[in-house]
Amino acid sequence: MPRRLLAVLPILTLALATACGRTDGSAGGGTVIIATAADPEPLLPPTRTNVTGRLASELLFDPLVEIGPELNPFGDAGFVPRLAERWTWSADSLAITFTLDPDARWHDGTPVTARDVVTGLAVIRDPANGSAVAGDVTEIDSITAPDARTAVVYFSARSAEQFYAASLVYPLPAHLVDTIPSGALATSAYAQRPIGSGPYRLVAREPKVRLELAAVEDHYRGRPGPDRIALVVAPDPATGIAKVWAEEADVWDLLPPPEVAAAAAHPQVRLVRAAGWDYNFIAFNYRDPRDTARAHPILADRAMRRALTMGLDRTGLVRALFDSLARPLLGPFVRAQYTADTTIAALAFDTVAAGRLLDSLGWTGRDRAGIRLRGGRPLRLRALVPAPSANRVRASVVVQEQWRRLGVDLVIDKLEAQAFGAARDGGTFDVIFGGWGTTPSVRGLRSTWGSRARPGWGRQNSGQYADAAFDSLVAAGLAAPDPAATRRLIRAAYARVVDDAAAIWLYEPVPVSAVHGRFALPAWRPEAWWRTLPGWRLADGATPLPRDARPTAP
Amino acid sequence: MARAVLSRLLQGTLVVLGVVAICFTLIRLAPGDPFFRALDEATVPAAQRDAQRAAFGYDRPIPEQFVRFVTNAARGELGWSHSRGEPVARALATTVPASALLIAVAALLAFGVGIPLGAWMGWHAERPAARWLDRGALLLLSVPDYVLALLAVMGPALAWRLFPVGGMRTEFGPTGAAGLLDVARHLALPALTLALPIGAVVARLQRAAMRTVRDADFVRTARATGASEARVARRHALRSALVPVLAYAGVHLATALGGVVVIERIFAWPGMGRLLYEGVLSRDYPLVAGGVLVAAVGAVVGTMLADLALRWADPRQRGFE
Amino acid sequence: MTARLPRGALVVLGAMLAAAALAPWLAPYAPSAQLDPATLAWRPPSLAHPLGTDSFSRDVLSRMLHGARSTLGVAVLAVAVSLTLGTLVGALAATARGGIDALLMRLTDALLAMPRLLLLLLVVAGAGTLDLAPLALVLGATGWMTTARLVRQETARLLATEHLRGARVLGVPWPRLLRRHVLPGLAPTLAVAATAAFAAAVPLESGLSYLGLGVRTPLSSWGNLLADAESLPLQHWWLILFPTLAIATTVLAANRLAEAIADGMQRDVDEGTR
Repeated sequence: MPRRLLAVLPILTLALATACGRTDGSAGGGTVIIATAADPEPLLPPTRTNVTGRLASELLFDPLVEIGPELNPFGDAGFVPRLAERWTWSADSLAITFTLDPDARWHDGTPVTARDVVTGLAVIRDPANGSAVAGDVTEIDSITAPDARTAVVYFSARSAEQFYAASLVYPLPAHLVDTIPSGALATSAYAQRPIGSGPYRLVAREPKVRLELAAVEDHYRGRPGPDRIALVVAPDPATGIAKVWAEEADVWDLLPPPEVAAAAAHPQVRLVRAAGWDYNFIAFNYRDPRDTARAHPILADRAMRRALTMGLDRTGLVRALFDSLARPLLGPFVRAQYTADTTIAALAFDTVAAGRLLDSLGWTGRDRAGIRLRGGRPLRLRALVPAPSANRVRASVVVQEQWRRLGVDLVIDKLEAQAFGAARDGGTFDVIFGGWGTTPSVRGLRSTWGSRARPGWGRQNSGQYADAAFDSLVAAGLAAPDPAATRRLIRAAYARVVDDAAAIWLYEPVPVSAVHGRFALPAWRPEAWWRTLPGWRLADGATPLPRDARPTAP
Repeated sequence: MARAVLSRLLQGTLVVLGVVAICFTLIRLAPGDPFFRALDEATVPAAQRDAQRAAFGYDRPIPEQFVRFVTNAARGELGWSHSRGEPVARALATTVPASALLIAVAALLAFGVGIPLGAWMGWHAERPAARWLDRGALLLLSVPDYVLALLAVMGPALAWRLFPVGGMRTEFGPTGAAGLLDVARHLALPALTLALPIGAVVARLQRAAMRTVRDADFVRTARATGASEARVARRHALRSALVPVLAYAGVHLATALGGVVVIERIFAWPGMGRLLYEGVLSRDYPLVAGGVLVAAVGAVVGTMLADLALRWADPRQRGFE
Repeated sequence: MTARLPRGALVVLGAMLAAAALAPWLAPYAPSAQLDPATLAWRPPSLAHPLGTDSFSRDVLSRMLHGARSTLGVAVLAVAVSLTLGTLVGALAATARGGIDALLMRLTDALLAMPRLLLLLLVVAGAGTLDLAPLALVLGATGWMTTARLVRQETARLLATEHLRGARVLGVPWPRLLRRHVLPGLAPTLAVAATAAFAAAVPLESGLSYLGLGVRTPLSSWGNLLADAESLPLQHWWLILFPTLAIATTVLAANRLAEAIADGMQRDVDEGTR
């Protein structure tokens, strides 16, 4: 894969683009068709709920600033300008003044102003919108707009990652959004056909079927490479992937492991491997499923959680399910994060020790199927597994078999998304096959493993792991003024949660994307590959497809 | 006659209301609600979800919600589809034609090929070829439809590149007359996969009916008049042998939507089956209610049309009602 | 009745049922045993594994044999449920007539007008995952309508015969009338309905598995064997071929049997033996 500077390509293609008027049959920047199993949901950055929604909304909208390719969330050194062309810090570091790019326009031609930044935060903060970003921008106190080109972001406390928080705010057009009453944004005409500030504008949308985007010719960052981008939804992944093999589509993100092996039969498609940003685990429920006010009768015991962890051959599981396309997980982090601790002490796979531990807990009896008994009751656990995640469904089958050998009966409740969510939120499970997407920042720890005793924390912590020391370490790490201190404190927090055996850390998948070979790709962004799209171009000497013909100007 | 039609319409309306009421209730009893976010996103606080439910009236008793749905639907208002972010009416306006096209072409194929083939098989029931065809039809019936669809995607579409893999149109493909051809190419595999098992049933029914009629008195009489064998088969035997097939056509139209759920999903065909399946999974209450309403009306009208055809084909049926 | 039963179909069904019953003794491996997921997964048929292994290195032959138990068990139970419900509704409608008849038949119409898969989807969505018995119950509860219509028609015909009219005039009580006179007369109709329902239930179980609503792991069924093929039917052909063959031959045999019985009934009618 040629590694070029992300910024150079748009300028090159801009030069090419301005040379052409309307159609001349020649290939321009090309057309990228992205096949996906899920429809992009909400097209607005603050309310998007799935990865496809993030993809579409981040092509339609630009943030103030964006984290650069090094993915360094500390301070502001690793960030690149977007709608804000420059910024200055206040003396006490509690305010950052952003100056907006004078050429930035909404797709309707209106200039982007500081009021739009205020609106962007207001939409995140309005509880009626249910924005998932709200929990990640808690350190922002407010945003003001002293004049049209100046937005000031005020923070309630200093921290190493406060600039990162500001990068999560996407300005929204105040002249279109402010008139929508609170609670009506989701059903508004604007949400269906958003007018953004990003390198692509919305051309057509057929819900659950397709989304068509076109390059913004006079974008303030330069015209993006590909002329058109279409997202086509194939609800059965097998069909979506087959579309890429048959050259009906150009991209499939996250190939399942068996399909990676099958890709060799399609030489026109290139596979792009990257560092993974998602991790998967089995979380234990600390509360009694029948009465969440009580501790879990079996799993509240650390020795039991350790026995179950030791009884699982995670290396074997990863090899069986993924071959080389995933790595065993070490803790609540992926290796790509700056806080990753590859020396962290892990519980080794040891069925003998696990068996002894279970014996010592009184699970000494055996029923006819070989399941352990204590006081006549079998050691049975109900697992919540989301049916839409093929990987987690397959992992649960392997875990079930391994635990059966240990004498543990795992009952798998494979549920579709809605029923899964309801059972998860209701706490009616013993263990849950979970997965989180991480970001360069570690602020997600507050909501994934933080205790619900702290206001605003633990929203995703369905097993209700609660450890005051862990919470303090995470809070201190996020508030620390320098990166080294943050890393030390967060690693200490990791050590606690791993030592507690709050979950069984399963695997971090190595994402593999299939991309049509006629495109020359800039340096890949593993955490958000679509950010590279404006830099794609048709490779020299590659044969364009009919759909690459430059569209007629309307 | 007018009274019979009126009574039939009234009964049909009751059936439609019954179907919608059942689905309306079942979807609301399932866990989850339309405001559920993606799989692993931060959980929306309960209070916030309750507020959203209240805003759309989902906290009211189900009978009350149903009455409101029916009165709104009578005014032509089907509500807002949460999962698609558009009005239900618009969602139906885009998906119903796609499914109608798929079902119509599949039915045309199934009945168009199944009837003559079955008639031939019945007329020449003793020939080995007819017997083997019959067994083949039975075998076709026994293969699960999604296996057939999956094989169609992997074989003719992907391995041999005869047809597109999925979707309804080539992205940024031709328009106008060439565009119609493009849709036809996309339609071929899903329509064929849907038509094969239906055609097998039709052929077998037609074969059985033809065999019975072949030896009936009136056919023997027709033969005695000196008409050619082919003419007897076509003019006299076929018409009365059509009865069971037409009766089946009504049932088939009524249940066609069940078959397209899987086919539309595998071939990424943007139709009603997919809409309903996704509507159920995302607990999109208004979408499911609206979709079921349209499907039930379609089924009832289909059954009535089949009955009409039945009366045409079999004069004896006119005595009933 | 003088139905000539097709011997081949009976042999196939008998063999399938025997395989299901004897699965624990016939299967070379435990059906859920993952022999060695890292090295033995996705093995094509060989001497050690005559039908190959699946993605978890489980022996497909063993899973097929044990799968016959769940698939056929679910189908048989589903048929029992739908037959009972259908007979009750149909017979009640035919004997009660009037308002109750109209009500029951419109309910039957309403359920028939609803795609069965959608109905199943709604029920399973509400229930989450289902164990074998509830799954069979649900399949049966959504499949009784055609039986009800058949039974109603046939009961009405029987009640109109001289013999039964006479019995009614003589004041034979209803339950006795139904038990002694109507039910025996219904037997051939029910036999057709049962085999046809069985032939429909077997592929439906596999369709539900494809949509992720089928038999729960680690139990195997022909349907979830197919669903486990992981969308690469040409590369892993043995995971598709063998379960499909098992389903197809079973359905084929059941259909042949249904037809033979129906033909027998037809002959009885023709020959005036009823």
